[in-house]
Amino acid sequence: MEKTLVGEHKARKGLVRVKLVVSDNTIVHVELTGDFIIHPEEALWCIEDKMKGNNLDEKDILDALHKAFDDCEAVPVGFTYQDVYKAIINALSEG
Amino acid sequence: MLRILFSETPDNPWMNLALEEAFFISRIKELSPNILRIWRNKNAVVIGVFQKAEEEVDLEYAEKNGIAVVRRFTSGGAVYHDLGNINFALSVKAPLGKRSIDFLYNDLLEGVLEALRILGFNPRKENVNDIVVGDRKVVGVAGSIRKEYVFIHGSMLVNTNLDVLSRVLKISKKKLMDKKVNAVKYRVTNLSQVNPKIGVREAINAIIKGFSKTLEEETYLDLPTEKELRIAERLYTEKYSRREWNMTRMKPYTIQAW
Repeated sequence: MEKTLVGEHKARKGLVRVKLVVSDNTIVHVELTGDFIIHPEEALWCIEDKMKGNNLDEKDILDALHKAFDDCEAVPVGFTYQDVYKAIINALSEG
Repeated sequence: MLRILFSETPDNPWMNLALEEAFFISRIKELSPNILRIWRNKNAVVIGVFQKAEEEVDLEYAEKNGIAVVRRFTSGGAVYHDLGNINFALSVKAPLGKRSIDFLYNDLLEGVLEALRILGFNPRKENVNDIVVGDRKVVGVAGSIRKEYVFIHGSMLVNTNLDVLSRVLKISKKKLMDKKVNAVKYRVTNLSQVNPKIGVREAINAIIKGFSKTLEEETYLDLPTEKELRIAERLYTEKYSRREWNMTRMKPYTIQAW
């Protein structure tokens, strides 16, 4: 059964909000919103796509985010993929 | 030479934002030289490309007070615009050998700092892209990069209605805790409140001089070309006038599409 979880984390620069749809220990959908900075802008949607299908193991999420930022050639400014990870963990713990 | 455009549609903030992107696209395609655009909105909230209107804006208050909500193509946070707020936008090519990201966040931000110094302030940069005088933010900037082409735009608070600003913009509890403040309005101020002699005209002149000095380019006044306006009209029709673009978090068009 699908469940929607939300969480946020304040990075050095910018607030990262996450909306996660999970089902059977798997990420079905991820949406990142906030005032954080990434170049190029399209990289955000690429990162979200690459997170789909990932399991909910914390280490796997961290590794998948790291890889997604690299694969999407995302250049975050004032925050890192680890801040997105913290927002996701906050969402999972509040769910 | 730095081309200066006073090209604005204050009653149509969607077209104003279409023009922002159009000038950058035109610069990327080498249809335009380096551009500094100065413009204003009459009554609008402009949100970042990664933001959702409902999370950042008191939509009921905005509707009651005729405040438009527009999403821009750059990241960063929501800002409130009225005629007391001066917007500037640079579409430029980074010099050879300079990383675009450094050029954006170091060199071009120096132009804003220089503008404030010309006005007699002692500004400093905080948190990557906030410009602060005393302990209050007076300018916020955002930018975009396409290879060696760099775009930066920002809002300078000269004489904005801060009461409306604090009512229409939402701020998250996490941010409040982080900044140890209890409302947006306590973190921003108008330049005219620090020095009542500063008005819109003085601020515009200082912005032009600041960027001219930083880029080491003389300036000249110009009008938009037909090609630039055609790009803006297409962006307006297909993107900025659409509710899906402004109110949801629709993926931006890619430059290749143009």
